[in-house]
Amino acid sequence: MRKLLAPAALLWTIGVLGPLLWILRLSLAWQGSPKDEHAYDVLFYHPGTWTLENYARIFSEWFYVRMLLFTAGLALLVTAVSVTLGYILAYAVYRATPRFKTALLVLIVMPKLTNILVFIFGLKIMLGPSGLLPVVAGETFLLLPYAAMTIAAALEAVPRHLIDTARGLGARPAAAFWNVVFPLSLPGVVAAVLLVLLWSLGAFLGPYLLGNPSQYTVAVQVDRETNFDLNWALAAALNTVMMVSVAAIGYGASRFRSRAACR
Amino acid sequence: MIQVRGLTKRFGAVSAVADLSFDVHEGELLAVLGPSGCGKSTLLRLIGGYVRADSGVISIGGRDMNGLPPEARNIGMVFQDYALFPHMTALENVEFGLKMRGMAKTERRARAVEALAFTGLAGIEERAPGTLSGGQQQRLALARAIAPKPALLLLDEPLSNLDARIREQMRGELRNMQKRLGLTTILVTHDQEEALLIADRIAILERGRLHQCSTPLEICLRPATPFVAGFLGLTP
Ligand SMILES: Nc1ncnc2c1ncn2[C@@H]1O[C@H](COP(=O)(O)OP(=O)(O)O)[C@@H](O)[C@H]1O
Ligand SMILES: [Mg+2]
Repeated sequence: MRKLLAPAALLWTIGVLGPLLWILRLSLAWQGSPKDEHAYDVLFYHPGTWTLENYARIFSEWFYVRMLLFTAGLALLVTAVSVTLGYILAYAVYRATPRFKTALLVLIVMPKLTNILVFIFGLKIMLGPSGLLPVVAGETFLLLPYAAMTIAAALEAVPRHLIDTARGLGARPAAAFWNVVFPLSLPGVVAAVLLVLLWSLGAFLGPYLLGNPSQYTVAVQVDRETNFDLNWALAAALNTVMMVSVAAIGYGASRFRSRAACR
Repeated sequence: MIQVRGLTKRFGAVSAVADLSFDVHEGELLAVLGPSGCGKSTLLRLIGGYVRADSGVISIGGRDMNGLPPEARNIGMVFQDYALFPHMTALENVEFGLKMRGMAKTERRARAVEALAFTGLAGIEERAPGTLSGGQQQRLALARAIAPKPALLLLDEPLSNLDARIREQMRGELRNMQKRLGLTTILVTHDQEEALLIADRIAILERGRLHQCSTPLEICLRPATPFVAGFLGLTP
């Protein structure tokens, strides 16, 4: 195992850290202002320049501020819906007899076996004209299996004897669930929330293919700045804002978890 | 008094409990003895209301238990693995049954503390079950089961997970507590010695069938079937 550590570290440096640092640098480069008649003589960005202008634009122009808020709101909504539905599915798996358990698990994972574009176009046919509802539904369908599987794994670790014991002590089924099963499945819920939240913050295909421009997320805008507007500096800055948010959420969650573990 | 009449439960082709009939008297400790797989746990789960019988009647104090869910039966159950709630303190575990019965906080706290003291667990109120020794976990499961003052106590191989030395000590204590509370109890075991030493009467099961149900002395003197004699190691 030790021997594999060095190549892995090298690969990570070249493949992950390198591009990240380069994006960070790019986000601090000058793109040129529209008022300057030579602004667009240089495409992508002005090499060797340093500025915070890109970040200033993102946090001052309503277009970008709205997009950041929409991306966060969409992620929260999709997380709430998919974790709730995922819990219900996971609970059905938990209570199912061994035979139905396998069938249910296969059904939950099935959408992941289709090509994602085919899956989304299928949804598009089903859900009708582009709009907020198809975007939320699409992203939920994409992420639901992960939420369900994560919670199902946590539930599987809750011994059924505990439910029987609670019932024997006088708890009705609902009371046994809320007092025993649910608290013990919380680590799975937290993991699912984290997984779905981080993933849906980067929502791209759903908003892009099922939404109108008003449902475009930061990830879609990064693509547009990169490939259509050729404003790489701004794309890199948008990207950095998202990365920092994701890292902050991950850090917060790990703090929360180590606090919970100490209890 | 507990009456069991014609109790039957099949799992597919397996007859787990076959036409069982017996009584448990008020304040008595009945041991259900038999080899592994003879249907002892199934019998307890039937009485506790965790599985539905194919046929037969169970009544407690003249009240028919048919169709009642476990929470409506007022039966205390200690599973073989204790099934302690890992996310609650020892005290909260014992309080659970009282809370479910709607008892006010101060009263149930007092009752739970009392039950812990009764089982020799004073001072561990705030500990998590996972930090307790095997013997302590066993006592905690017992304290939790008896705190709501059940009409019947069911114990599924309560001593089998303990070290040999603690087992003997716990056996004596268990019997002692049961007598002091006058609690009608069914204890399931595959250990002949345990059954003979602890029980008022013993019911001997084999493949779901009842071979004999009487006092340890009677069974030793007059084993009803060759299986009983063989299982107890008695030479006819
Ligand atoms: N849920 C179940 N499904 C199928 N068979 C079962 C189930 N529970 C018990 N059995 C079978 O019933 C018989 C009695 O089991 P059990 O009551 O656990 O025996 P004991 O507790 O005496 O060891 C065994 O043959 C067992 O395999
Ligand atoms: Mg058993």
